[in-house]
Amino acid sequence: MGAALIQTIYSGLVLSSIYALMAVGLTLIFGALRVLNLAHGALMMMGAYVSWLSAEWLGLPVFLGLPISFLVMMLVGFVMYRLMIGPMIGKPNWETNTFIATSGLALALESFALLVFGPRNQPQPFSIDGSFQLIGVTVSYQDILILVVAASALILMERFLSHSRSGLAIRATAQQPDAAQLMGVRQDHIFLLVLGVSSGLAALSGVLLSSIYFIAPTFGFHPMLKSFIICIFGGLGNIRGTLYAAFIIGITESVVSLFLGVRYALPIMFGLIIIVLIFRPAGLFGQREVVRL
Amino acid sequence: MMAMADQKGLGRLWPLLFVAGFAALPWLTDDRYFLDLVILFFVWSLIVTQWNLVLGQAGIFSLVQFAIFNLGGYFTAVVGVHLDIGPAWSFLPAGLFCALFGFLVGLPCLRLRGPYVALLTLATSSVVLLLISADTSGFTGGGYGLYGFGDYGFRDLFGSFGKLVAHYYFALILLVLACWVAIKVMKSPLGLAFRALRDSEGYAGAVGISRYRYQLLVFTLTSFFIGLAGSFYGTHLGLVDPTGFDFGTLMLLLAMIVVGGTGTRWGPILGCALLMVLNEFMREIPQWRDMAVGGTVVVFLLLWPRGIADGLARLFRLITGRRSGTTPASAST
Repeated sequence: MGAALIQTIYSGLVLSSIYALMAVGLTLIFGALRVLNLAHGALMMMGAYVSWLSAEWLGLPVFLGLPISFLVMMLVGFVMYRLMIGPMIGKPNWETNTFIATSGLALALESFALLVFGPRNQPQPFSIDGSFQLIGVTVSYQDILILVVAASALILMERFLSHSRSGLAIRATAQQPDAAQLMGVRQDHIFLLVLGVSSGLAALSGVLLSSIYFIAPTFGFHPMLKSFIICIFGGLGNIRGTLYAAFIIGITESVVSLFLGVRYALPIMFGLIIIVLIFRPAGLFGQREVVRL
Repeated sequence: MMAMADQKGLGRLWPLLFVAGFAALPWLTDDRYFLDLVILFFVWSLIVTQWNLVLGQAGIFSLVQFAIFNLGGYFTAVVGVHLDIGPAWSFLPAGLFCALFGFLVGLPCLRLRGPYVALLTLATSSVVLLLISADTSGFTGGGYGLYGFGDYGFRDLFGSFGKLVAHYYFALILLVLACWVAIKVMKSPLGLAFRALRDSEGYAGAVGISRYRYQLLVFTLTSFFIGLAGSFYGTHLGLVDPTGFDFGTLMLLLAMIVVGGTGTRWGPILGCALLMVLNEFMREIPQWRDMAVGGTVVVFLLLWPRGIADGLARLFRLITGRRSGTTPASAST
């Protein structure tokens, strides 16, 4: 049991690092734009397919799949902001409307992928074979690749947000949109940037996740739902909280799956969230927003 | 708020005309496929009317309503298969069960706001679907669903076509009842309370209007009707299975509300009719359906976020030059 538990916690750790990438992308958008992007799962799926296409169709080296899919999806994010989310922000009921519109987009994108690629599961070319044993745990090279990519992406993200001008502007906008604007931050540009970066992160997590499982037109939906649960758990818009939450939830999920079976993982996760939200409505690490009348 | 003034003359009459028209339909045609389609229209109209009450009036951004619809069907099926209680007897209990479910979901979810509610209710729906489809004990039939749980007994009374007509009237009556309740709610102090909460939550709270309590009430009430509709539709089809939870259909129903006009009185039904026509065109090319639905939602939200009911009302005002009529509630807020 001990070895199985360690193995489970370890694979939970690998999974969590992907969830963290996804959830940080989601929470970034919510923090800056107050938009819940339900198309995040679809963007993930597209990112995974872009990597697949670049290797299988264009015949590019497998490892170029990751940066290519990051850049392509970043562009998609820009387009999505310019054509869809940007024009909706600030209109009456825009919070609800962007939610519905992005879910509509997700549905359209997923059914488009189904039409083009068919329902068959595709293997992700961005992967390495082989594994070794470490204190009774089977560690595959792919896992290490995932951990390295995820960790470096998250660290770069942290550097970007806390040291670059654009990153600081993003955080300023998230904290106080009006004040940031008064200080000369172009809100429109920031929103555009955030959507691009977040879509890029979605692409990375899509490529990584599909390298563990497979690529399929709707494979992004459940991971997205879990990422949302993670975001809520950590406090929507709170990046550090989201990171902690990703690891808490990812590892809990693996352990629950080990002891009770996979099908109870999501229901239990959900029960956990409800309990957290009853006592801490703004999430475990979130701060309650003060609403002035 | 004068747009909400009581409808006069024709405005009060035309819903009755529509009902009369629909009531006459089975005497004019014996096209089974068409009647089946109209039954589906009644059922979906009922869901979107009730859902619109939650979404547009009470301002609860909940997505669990679609799962509740399926639960209504599942309740009747499970009770029919395992306890041998026919759908006629489990019809009302199915509604009550769904009302209880709605209440229990609302209890934690409604403490939260907008996006959190949407996510939690979406997660609830997914959990319900997972629990139903992953069941291997035969209780819910897992991925195969349940069938053979009987019907209301109309076939023995009226024959095969008569059963269809009976179901047709059953659905029509259910829809009329649900619409009547929805309008009553909109016009009642409850509706006023929601408008007060929308206009200024602080002032509304100061005069003792509890958002939580009123939202929970509407949530439970609409769950009851949606559960009834689910029970009826499951019985009408004669089977329930997990494909009923299809995300595409959920979006189709949301699209009906959005296209018709969120929060308006008749908009969702109008949207339902329009999107069902679209859906029918898509029957030949089902692989394009979800794309069309998703695209419609996005385009409407971008270009016409108030929906066609608002557009029609404005057109109507332009022609008649008066301010009353079918102006939707949200148009003046």
